[in-house]
Amino acid sequence: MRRQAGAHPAAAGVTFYDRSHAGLHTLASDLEAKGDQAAAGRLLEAMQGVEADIAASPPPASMPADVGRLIVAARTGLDALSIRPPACMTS
Amino acid sequence: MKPRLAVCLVLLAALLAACSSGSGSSASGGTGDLVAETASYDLAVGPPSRFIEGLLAPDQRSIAYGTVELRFCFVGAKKATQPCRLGRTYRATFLPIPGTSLANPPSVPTALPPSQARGVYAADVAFDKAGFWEVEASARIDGKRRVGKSALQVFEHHFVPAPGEQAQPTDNLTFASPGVPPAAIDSRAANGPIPDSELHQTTIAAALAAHRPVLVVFSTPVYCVSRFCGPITDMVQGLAHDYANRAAFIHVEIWRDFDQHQVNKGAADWVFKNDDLTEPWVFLIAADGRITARWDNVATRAEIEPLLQQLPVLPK
Repeated sequence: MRRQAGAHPAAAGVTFYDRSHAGLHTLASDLEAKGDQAAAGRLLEAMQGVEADIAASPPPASMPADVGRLIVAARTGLDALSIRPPACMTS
Repeated sequence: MKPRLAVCLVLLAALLAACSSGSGSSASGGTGDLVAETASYDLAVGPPSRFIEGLLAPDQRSIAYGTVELRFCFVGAKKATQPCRLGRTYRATFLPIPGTSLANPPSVPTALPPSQARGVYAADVAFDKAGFWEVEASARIDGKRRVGKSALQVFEHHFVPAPGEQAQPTDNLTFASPGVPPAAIDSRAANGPIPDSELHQTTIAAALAAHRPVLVVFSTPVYCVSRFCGPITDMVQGLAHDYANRAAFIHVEIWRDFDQHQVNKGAADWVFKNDDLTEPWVFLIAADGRITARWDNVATRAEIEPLLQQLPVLPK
């Protein structure tokens, strides 16, 4: 998705909403339930940044970096819940 | 509530898919039943009020558009102890989350990628007993009848202010509030200006004192955790632009400080009840200070606008 965000931002938006959006909301909700408000906050802030990028026309040049920030926040959240992230998120 | 392993495994799969470099958005069609999720907050015994239910295909595509059938059964006052005996059928219509409407929507329930359609089905439903209930949602999709079930709790009374009640004269934060971090007025303002300036000019208390109708949205644009989150604040901003001569329009940010788990008092007065914070909410308050209507979780312009059009134009 990060690669898509640079080359094909519209496709990255589709990928975000079709494959990641609901799961990321669930992750944020579980982090809140666990009491890790800071990790939930960073994740939701990063999601909102990507959503704003997708909604912008044209998407801003910062979109790949914002997607990268979201991946870092998601990875941190998964770590906090002791869930091993997929390999592409650890490289 | 502890993190749910099964949910997290689904999440992991979703994240794994998100890492892939493929650009395709289609998912394989599922053949099983539907995944149903009750999206309503604050259900209570009483006259019919809006009930909303989200439906997903097993492959996580949204079920959207057309109508579905809802049937309910009571399964116990304290816990689910009795068999589900389904009652009458309610026909529920689709409410698209703002910003996700299709130009040419299908006329029947259809499984669509979330990037194309997200929303809930709504029907006015009356509950006659407090306790635990189940809802069965059924729809004909691709020629086959599909069914999903979810559980819900109905309380003796509403916890969140409801139509007919007097609105609380809340002193929510505005541009004029001294010493307030901008993000406490709108969570999107952490690194920039406060958006939707028309929504932060006055308080609910001041509007009530002036006998002006009020449309107020309680929301946190950044920190919303509902899977049905959408640009509800922007939708209210659009209404404020078009109907400024009929009502006051107010956005109350939920969080004073999200990291410190501090809720704005103006939001807590209304939506932090029974030890539970629910958002977003939209309330329409009449000039006499009584709540006319409320919308939980998902609110659409199509539902709110007709009520604003019925309000008289305010004197200048």
